[in-house]
Amino acid sequence: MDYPSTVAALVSLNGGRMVGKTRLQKTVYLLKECGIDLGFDFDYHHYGPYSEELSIASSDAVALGILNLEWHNAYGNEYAVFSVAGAGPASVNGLGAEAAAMLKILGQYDATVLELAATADFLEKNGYADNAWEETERRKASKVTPTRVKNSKKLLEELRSL
Amino acid sequence: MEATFNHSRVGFDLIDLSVHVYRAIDSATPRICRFCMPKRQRVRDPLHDLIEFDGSDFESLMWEALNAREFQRLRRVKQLGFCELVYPGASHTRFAHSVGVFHTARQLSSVVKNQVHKFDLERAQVAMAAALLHDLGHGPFSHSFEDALKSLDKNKPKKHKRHELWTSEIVDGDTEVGEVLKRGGKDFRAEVAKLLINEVPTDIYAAIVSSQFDADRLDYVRRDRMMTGAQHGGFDYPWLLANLEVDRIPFSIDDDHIGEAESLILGEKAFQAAESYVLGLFHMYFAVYFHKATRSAEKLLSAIIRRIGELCDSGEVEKSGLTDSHPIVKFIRSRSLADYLALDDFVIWASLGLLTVGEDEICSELSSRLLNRRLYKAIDIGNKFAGREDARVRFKGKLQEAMSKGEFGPIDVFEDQPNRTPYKLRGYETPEAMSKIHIRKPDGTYEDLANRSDVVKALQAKSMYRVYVRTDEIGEHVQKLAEGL
Repeated sequence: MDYPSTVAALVSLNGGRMVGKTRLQKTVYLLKECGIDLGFDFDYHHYGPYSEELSIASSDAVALGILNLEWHNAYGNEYAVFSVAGAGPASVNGLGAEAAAMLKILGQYDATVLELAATADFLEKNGYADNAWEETERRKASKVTPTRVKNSKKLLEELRSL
Repeated sequence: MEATFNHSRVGFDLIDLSVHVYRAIDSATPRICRFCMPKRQRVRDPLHDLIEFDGSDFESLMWEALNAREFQRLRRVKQLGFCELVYPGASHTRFAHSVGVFHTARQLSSVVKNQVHKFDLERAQVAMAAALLHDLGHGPFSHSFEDALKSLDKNKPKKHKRHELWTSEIVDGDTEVGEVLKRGGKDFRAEVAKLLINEVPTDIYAAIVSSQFDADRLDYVRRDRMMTGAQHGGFDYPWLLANLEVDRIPFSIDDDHIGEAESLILGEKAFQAAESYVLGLFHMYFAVYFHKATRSAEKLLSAIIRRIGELCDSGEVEKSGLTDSHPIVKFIRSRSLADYLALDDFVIWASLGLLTVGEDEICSELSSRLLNRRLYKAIDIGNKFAGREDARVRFKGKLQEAMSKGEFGPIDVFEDQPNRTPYKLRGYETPEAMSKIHIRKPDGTYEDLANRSDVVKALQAKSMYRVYVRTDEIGEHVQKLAEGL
């Protein structure tokens, strides 16, 4: 599996740009859980489901020059902005119309909502089937608000209904 | 939280909790309660010298927690795993480190007390308890064991738990230490467990447990340096401590602003001390934590555990030399807390002798190598292609291709690309704002140390990628792959 090209192809399908490493991680996780498996394995990290392979692949894609990485600043913190370099990569298996539809939905929500949705989904499948949201709130007290939880649940419903 | 020490049931009225003076109900004469006589406990520590548990209700409770079986298990888990194969003195345990972290957390608590208008003793005690217990969930040879389980669980729906989650489960579960914490008050145990699992500090007390200057890091950097004998990595700890201040810092996820959190920052007079601290940590990473021999041993253990797991999956575990009732086999199958707590470094070392005489050639060879320190040699590809990241990535591709073509056997080569960095300017793995050292400016505001220090800024340049090889011939094959890139 050519992981760096896969990451570049995903960014290309996302309109040639993706804002934030958290968004990249949670996007690939949620795609996988909704049936579009790009080959990255996830386990639970500080921020919820996380793939070290994906983190390395995105760095490798930048090193190979097929992905650009810029750092922007907001509220005193820096965040990554990925964009495809040149004409972009060739298409990758699994990244078709269905993935594009999911990316469109994901793009309507902010990174925090993606993180909460991905975390609750992971917990539901890993020992918290009955209280995934309660556990998400316990672990992410500083990020959880009623509105964000509502939006996260809505996001999962939209993705699962595709 | 409610006080749980009920003196009336033994015929005493509480007069002064802080000094444990009581009066018998039928007497006017105050006296020391013979049931709750403050008993000072002392630990002699190589780093901090005398660490005292002062006999107060809270510290007596912490002493009890320390004596719980789950905490005593940490005597059998080395702080630095295989590091003693390189630095023979580095045989210190997570037990000693945890006691040191508690001591450091008390010092940080004093710093906070002097900095805030209204000090919350209960929150500080939750933080100090969390500091003492933060390592309870470490398995044997922490990272290599976790890596093996992660690899075993690849493409399986259920995933292994990282040690932080085990810690929280031990504190919150049906355990001796959990029973002790229940006596700390109605919500005490739940608050400790919550703090241990919370990813972003919610207040300044949480920063004692999780920040750039948390008690864990302030202990391990100094302790590991002392015990390895490494002479680099030193920094001015008293000065750093004396210049810690409390402030609010913003945090966000990508471009989404979340809010602000209280954290520890440094006063401007600690600029050089802060540089030394970061530089010291950086040196420790490369000289100690990422030492090629240590990492090679970790790769061998990971491969052994992975192999045992594969044999478990295929119903052939007896070929490994271990029986169904062996603690490693039991845990791989059950993943239960009880079986996890039965594992420690001693269990692993003792299993190697059994594995060497087992029928399975992979287990046998790797165990024999580990037992006798016949480690795989490291080829430093990252160094070979320093400044040429594209060539390094192309090499990885060539190696993967060669492996998929069957040019290497299953245990001929192990790749190693550690992703931990000593000072994270930016990143994903740790909360963005919490991963920085903030230092006060003359105008009263603060900024990221990396913006003021060229030394710290430059530390980001070094990345690591090594390949460990089974034989010299395989090493030559790997070297050839690197030619012409």
